Amino acid sequence: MARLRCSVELSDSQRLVRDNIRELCSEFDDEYWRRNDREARYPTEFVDLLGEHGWLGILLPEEYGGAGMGTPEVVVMMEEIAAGGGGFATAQAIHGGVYNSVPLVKYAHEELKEELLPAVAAGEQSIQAFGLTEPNAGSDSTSIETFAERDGDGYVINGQKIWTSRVDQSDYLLLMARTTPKADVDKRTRGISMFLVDLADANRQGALDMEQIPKTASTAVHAFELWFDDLRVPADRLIGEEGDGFYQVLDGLNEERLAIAAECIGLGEAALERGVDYAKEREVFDAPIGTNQAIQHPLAESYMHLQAAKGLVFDAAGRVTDEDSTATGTLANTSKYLAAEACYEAADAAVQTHGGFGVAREYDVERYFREARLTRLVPVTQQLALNYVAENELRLPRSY
Amino acid sequence: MSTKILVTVKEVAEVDDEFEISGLDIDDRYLEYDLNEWDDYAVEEAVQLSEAGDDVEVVTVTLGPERSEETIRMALAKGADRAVRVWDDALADAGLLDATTKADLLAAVVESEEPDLVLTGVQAADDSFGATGVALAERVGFEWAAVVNDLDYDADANVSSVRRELEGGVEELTDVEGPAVLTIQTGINEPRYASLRGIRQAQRKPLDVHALDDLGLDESVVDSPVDLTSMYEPESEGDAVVWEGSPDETADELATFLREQGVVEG
Ligand SMILES: Cc1cc2nc3c(=O)[nH]c(=O)nc-3n(C[C@H](O)[C@H](O)[C@H](O)COP(=O)(O)OP(=O)(O)OC[C@H]3O[C@@H](n4cnc5c(N)ncnc54)[C@H](O)[C@@H]3O)c2cc1C
Repeated sequence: MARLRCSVELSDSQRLVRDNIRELCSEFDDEYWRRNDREARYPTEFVDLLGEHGWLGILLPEEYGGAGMGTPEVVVMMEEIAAGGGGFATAQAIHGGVYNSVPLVKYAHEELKEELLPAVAAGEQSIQAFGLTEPNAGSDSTSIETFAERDGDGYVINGQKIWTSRVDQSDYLLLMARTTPKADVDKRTRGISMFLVDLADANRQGALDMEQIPKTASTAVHAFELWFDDLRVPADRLIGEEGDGFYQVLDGLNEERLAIAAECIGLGEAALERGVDYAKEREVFDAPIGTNQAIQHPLAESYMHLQAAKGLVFDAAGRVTDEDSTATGTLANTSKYLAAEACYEAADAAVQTHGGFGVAREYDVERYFREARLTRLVPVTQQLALNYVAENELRLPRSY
Repeated sequence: MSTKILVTVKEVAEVDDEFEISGLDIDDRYLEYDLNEWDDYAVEEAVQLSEAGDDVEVVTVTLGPERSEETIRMALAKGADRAVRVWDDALADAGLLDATTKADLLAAVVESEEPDLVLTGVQAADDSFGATGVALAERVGFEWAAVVNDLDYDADANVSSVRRELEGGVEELTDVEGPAVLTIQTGINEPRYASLRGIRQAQRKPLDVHALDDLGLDESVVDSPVDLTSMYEPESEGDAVVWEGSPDETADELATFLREQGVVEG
């Protein structure tokens, strides 16, 4: 399969990351990614290989055994994983593993960091799961009701989460719970705390019930509904300050969003490459279908949109730490929004180019299309990204 | 006692399935650059020796433009200690560098580095001369062994016990006294993937760039009796048929095909 040329100037370290991820991905053939989707099977072999070579510690500081790299390198890594054939699902398979330890670096106490982070960097322990969304609090995430009550030397947690990804592939869950009810705080973003839950311990206590949610996109990465029934968590597993958890999440959110934008770009590139190859090969009416502008133009247009979004994502990745938070939020939300639209457009064009084969599993584009549709819903819906920019950048009234 | 191993590494061009020729070269749009496959094995062999011994330094040397630093960093990420890159406007202008020119350039590096052992790949995947390693050995007066697929190195005695792959499936076992040049065959080991920490460290490892002047050479080094006169794609003389499936099925298909073509009867 011919790869698209990279339109963005990469730094030395970005190029090394790209080349090495490309090499790792080349161990796995198309049938591997296809089978993971068909059988809703987590890409364990791929994730283990990445873990073994230290990639899950890409953002962890070197003193904890990590690589101490930043967003500019992570966007390349995520784009390349998705573009390498694995799509959005494969990037999502490790997304939590890379990002959930970031708040720990900043807010956990030293003892916990020294105990846990080197093992995470080495791929031996994982913090793949992050639980925020609840049935009664979707996009309105400060309305969560799961509650952690202080009790002696710990907390007792009760409540319910939904759509928590990768719980089955993780040693720990980073859990967001209210420690003060929303009604009793002066700002809705206060009174939420962050806990690190040891999942094996939760199961031993018999305090955690989980049920997998059957779904049709990113099937390889499972999402769950969780119920907590008097789950005891030691006080030293409160991460950061009680009541400040929501701010701790917001802190790294923009950078993480850029990584997701890069996953969208990679998925779009994979879809577009398939579409272009097929347009050259498939002959109907005695000529390759790619001879027709009706086939060419949607591919060319999605190429342009992907490149535009990619330029923005990579530029933002280089600047994200230097900007004040509203500007950074605008950059991150704009990047993610445009990347998701561009990858959806590319996947749609690739399906159309394939005619009836566009829905045949064997040609992969239907899988890319399902995943591209999902990128417009997670981690927040496109509307919420628009809401953010309207309110914060354009100073229109808040609508959410 | 310390040991120094010099590994020659080359950035090679890989061509897309479909491509166009422009002038004397393949159009750059259809090229991707990567570390030469044979050199990947040579680097791995050197890094394994450095991990097994104490005080072994692995230095890579490349003839190539700035772009090739990407490939060099890859070798550093896999465990080489430092890198030397040789380039000069005169080399860029010369176009094709023949094996003698390369040997002369590499010899200058060998003379300044004074390694105990030099590892090269058997050949480069793009121009496939397969001559540079041996030409270098001749030029610096080192012992040599070509197409090595097993190596047991005694650092104290500086002797390499090697297995060489000869034509027709014959293999030769021999001892080579150092300082020596060994050209390394694919399959001698299993090249590793770089670890992310290795990648991080690679960026801090020294990479020195030398021009002809720095090596005590002048432009005459590129003079060559070999000229590249044309580049074309050979006509294919036949078609290949590939059958996929189990051995049983494909054997049947092959038999039918051979009968139809009149190769076998019955
Ligand atoms: C595959 C998958 C994996 C996930 N993984 C995780 C995970 O690991 N951890 C986690 O915590 N969550 C996870 N989620 C949850 C995800 O973050 C939410 O689904 C998302 O934030 C949207 O919430 P919702 O589904 O409740 O939609 P709702 O909030 O119910 O929204 C429904 C629709 O209304 C629109 N809408 C709502 N309010 C407004 C408004 N004010 N203005 C305009 N439009 C509005 C939305 O845009 C959307 O179109 C995952 C979801 C999926 C599908």
